[in-house]
Amino acid sequence: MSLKIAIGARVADRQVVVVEGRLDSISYHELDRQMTDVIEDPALETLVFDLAKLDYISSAGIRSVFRARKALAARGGRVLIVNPQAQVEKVFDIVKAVPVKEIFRSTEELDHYLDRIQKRIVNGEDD
Amino acid sequence: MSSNPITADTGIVPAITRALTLFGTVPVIVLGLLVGVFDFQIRRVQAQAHVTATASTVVEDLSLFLSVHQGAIKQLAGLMPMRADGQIASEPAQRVLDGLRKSFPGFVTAIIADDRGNVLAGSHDGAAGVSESWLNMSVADRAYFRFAREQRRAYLSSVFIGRGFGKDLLCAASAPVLGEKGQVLAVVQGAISLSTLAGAFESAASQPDLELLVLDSDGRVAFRSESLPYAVLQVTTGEFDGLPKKASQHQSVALRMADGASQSYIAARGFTPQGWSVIAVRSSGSIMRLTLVDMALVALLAIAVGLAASILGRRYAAGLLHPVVAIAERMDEMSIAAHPLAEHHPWRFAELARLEAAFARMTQRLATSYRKLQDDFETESALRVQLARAQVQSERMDRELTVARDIQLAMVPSEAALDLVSDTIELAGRLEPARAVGGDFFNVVAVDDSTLSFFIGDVSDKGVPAALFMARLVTLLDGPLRRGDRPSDVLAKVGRHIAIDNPADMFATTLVGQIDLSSGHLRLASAGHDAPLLMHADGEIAAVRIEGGPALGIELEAQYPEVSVKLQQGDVLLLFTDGLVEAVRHDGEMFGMTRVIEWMQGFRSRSAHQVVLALTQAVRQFQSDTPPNDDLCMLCLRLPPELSGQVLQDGDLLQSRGLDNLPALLDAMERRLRFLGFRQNLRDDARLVTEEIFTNACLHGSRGPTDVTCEIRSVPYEDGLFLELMDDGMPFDPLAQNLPDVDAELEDREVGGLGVFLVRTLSSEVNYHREGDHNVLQLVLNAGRKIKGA
Repeated sequence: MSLKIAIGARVADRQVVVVEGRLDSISYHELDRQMTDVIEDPALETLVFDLAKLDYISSAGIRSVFRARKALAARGGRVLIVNPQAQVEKVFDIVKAVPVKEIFRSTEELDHYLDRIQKRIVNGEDD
Repeated sequence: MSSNPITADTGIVPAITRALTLFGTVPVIVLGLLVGVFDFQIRRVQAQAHVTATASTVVEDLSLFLSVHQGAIKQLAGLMPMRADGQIASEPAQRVLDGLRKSFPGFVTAIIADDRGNVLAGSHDGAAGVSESWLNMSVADRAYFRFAREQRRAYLSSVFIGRGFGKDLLCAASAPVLGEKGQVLAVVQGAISLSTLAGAFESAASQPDLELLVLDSDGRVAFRSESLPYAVLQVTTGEFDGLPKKASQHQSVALRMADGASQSYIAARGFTPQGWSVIAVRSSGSIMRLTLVDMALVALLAIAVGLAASILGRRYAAGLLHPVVAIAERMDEMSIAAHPLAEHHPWRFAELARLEAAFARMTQRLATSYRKLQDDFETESALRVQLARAQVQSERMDRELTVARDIQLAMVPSEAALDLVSDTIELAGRLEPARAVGGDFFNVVAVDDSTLSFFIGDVSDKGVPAALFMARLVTLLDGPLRRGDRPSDVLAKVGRHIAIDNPADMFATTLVGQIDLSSGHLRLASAGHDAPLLMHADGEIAAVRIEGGPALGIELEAQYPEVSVKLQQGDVLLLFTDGLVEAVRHDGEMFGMTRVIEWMQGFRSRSAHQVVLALTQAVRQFQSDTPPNDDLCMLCLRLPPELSGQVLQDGDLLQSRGLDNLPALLDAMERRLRFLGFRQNLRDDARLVTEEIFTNACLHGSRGPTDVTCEIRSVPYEDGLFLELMDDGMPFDPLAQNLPDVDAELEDREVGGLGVFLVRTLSSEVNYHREGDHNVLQLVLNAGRKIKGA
C-alpha cells in the first residue's frame, strides 16, 4: 500500500492531482517533491486534490496539504479537496485541515462550486 | 544433334547451286545456239559472197589474161614485117616473135607459118620438142592454123597438153596475117601456158575452203583445186549446167566425190568472152564445221560458266542459309536437342527440314513447359485457396483460443484477487499454459474469516480437451471447498463425480489443502499430485510427504488420506504442477527440483509474490528460446515472518527498531488487528496513533547513533482496543504539550503538534508514564466512539 501520485492535465488556472494509497510519515516526501513544481507555478489558482483512492492519511500528509494551501493562499489561490474517504475525512475534520466549504463529496459538487466562483468573478462580486 | 533424322531429299545449298548452275549455263547454251545459227548464217552469206566475188574476180582475171594474149597475137599478126614482095621474111619474123615472148612471158612458144602451114619462124625456150627443125615444119593440120586461115579470124583453142612441154596445160591463140588484098599470108600462133594462171587461181582460191574450177570453152577442166574430184582436161558432165550465168549469183550444187559420197557446195559461175567458165565453190560442210567449232567454244564457255556458277552458287547458298542453320541450332539448344520429335513432315530441303524439326521440338518443349507451368499454377492456386481457408480458419480458431484462454485464466484467481482473499497470509499464484489453453489449475477460497481452502491440479492432457476437463474440475471442486469440506472428502466426492462420467478417460492429479489461519494448522490431501515444498524462515526446505490416492477420474471409490502440518510464521508453502520441475530446455535438460529449491532459498525472506515471480522468471530464462513444453502452474502461501529481524512478535507484543522499520511494524500490527477481527476504521485509528507517536519518537527521541526501539502491545478491551506504545527514546509526554489551535485562520496555523492532537482526539483514554528509560503511552480506542468536536 504505497503512495501513488497522478498529476493531471493543467486546465487553464486549474490543476487536479490524484493521490492514491497511503499518505503518511513515510510517503509524504514523495508528494512534497512532486508538488514543488506545481505549487510554484504563479499562474495556478485552483489546486484540486482528488482523494477518492486515498485510504489513509496521517499528520505528515496533513502537513503536505497545509504546505500547498499556504503556497497558494499567499497569492490568492485555493486548494480544494474532492472525494475524501472515511479515514481521510475523519482526520481532516479533527484537525480542520481544510475549511469545510472547500471539501467536496463528489466531482459534481466541485464543478458546481467552481462554476459559482467563475460567475462571481464575472459579476465582479467580491469573495 | 547430328542424330536427328532428316529425311529431306536434298539440301537447299545443292539446290541453289544447281539452279544457279542451270541459270548460268542455259542462257549461255541458248546464246551459243543462237550464235551458232547466226554464225552459220553469216558464214554462209560470207561464203556465198566469197564464192561469187572469187568467181567474178577470177573470171575477170582469166578473161583479161586470155584477151591480152589473144590481143597480142592479133596485134602481132597485124604488125608482122613483110618483104617488098609481100612475103614474110623469116628473120625479122623471128625477132618479132622473140619480142613478143619477151613482152608476154605467158607465151611459151610463138610461131609463124605461111599460108600453107609451113613454119616460117618460131621462138621458144628450147624446151624439149622445139628445135630448129621447126622451120618448114608443117602445122597445116593444126586447128589453130586451119581456123585462122580459113575463117580469117583470130582463134583461141581449148586447153591441151602440148607436146614437148611436159604436163603444162596450154592453149593456143592464133591470128591470120592478112595481105593487102585480104588474103591470108601467114598465121601467127602463140602457145599460152596456163601454169602461169594457176598461181593466180591458187591465190584466188587461197581462201580457206574456197575451191576453184576453170573450164575452157569446150567444158574441159583447165584448172581445179586439189580437193575437187576432177582431173585436168576432164570434161564435166553437166553438174554445173543449172548454175546461173552470172558470176554474182550463186547456187548450191551437189558434187559426187571420189569416194562416191555426195557433198553439198555453194557455187558461182562466171563466163569469159572467150567462152571459158570459172566456177568457185565452197563446201557447205566446211561452214558447218566452222560453226560447230564456234559452238564447241560456246559449249566450253558454258561449261566454264556452269562451273563458276556452281562454285560461287554453293558458297552463296551456304552463306545465305547460314542463319537458317544457326537458328535451328539455337532452337535445339533451347529445346534440349534430345527432346523427342513426335512428328515431322517430309521436306524437300534438308535445311528447312532441320529448321522445322528444331521448331517442332521447340514448340513441343515449350508446350510441355507451358503445360507444366499451368499445372503448377493450378496446383499453386488450389494450395493458395486451401491456405487462405486454413488461414481464415486458423485465425478464427486463434480468436476462439484467445477468448478461451481469457476465460480459462479467469477461472484461476488473479494477483489482485489473491491479495483480497486474506490479509493474514500472503498468497501468490501463476498459471501459464504452454499452449493457448492448458490443463493446469489452482484456486484459493476463503471459507470463513480464519479458514482458507485451496487446490492445485494438472489434467493428464494438454490443449483444449484438457482445458475443458480443467473447467469441469474447477467448478466441481469449488462447491465442497467453499462449504469447508475437509480435503480428503473434497477429493473423494469430486473424484467419484468425475469418474462416473469420463468419456475421454482423462484424469487429473489434484492437491487440496485447508489452512486455519488462527493456528497455522494445515491439512493436505493429494490425488496423485506432486508433493508441495515447505520452506521455513531459516531456509530449511523439504517436500511435505503425503500418502496420496489415485488421480481424479480413474477410480470411483478412492481414499485420500490427509496429512497435517503446523505452519510457522515465515513458512512458505509452494504447490506446483510438474511443468515447473520438468520444464525442458533445448538440450533436453530439465529445470529440476534442485533449481527450484535453490531459487526458493534465495528468496526465503521475500514475499510469496516475489517467490512465484522469481521461479517463473527462472524457468523462462532456463528455457530461453525453447517454447514451453508444459503448462507452468504454481501456488505459493506464506505466513509473514513476524519473527524476522524487522519486526519481533512475541504473543501480543510487536517490536521494531528505527523509523525505517516503522511501516513493517505498523503492517504487522494491522495484520494482527485484522487477525483479531477489528474493523477497518479502528485499524486505521490504531495505525494513525501509533504512527504519530512512534514517528515523533524516532525523529526526535533518539539519544545517540542507536535507533529508537518501538514496541506495541495490543489487546482487545471491552468493545474496543487497548494499545500500549513504548519507546526507549528521550522522555516525551504527549499529554503535556500545548494543543494547536485548529480553529485559527489558515495563515496563522502551526504545522507542528497535529500528530499529538490527533492521538488525543482519537483516543477515549490516554495515559503516559516513564518506565525506566522507556516512554509508555497507554490508549484505548473505541470502535463506536464518537469523535470529539465532530
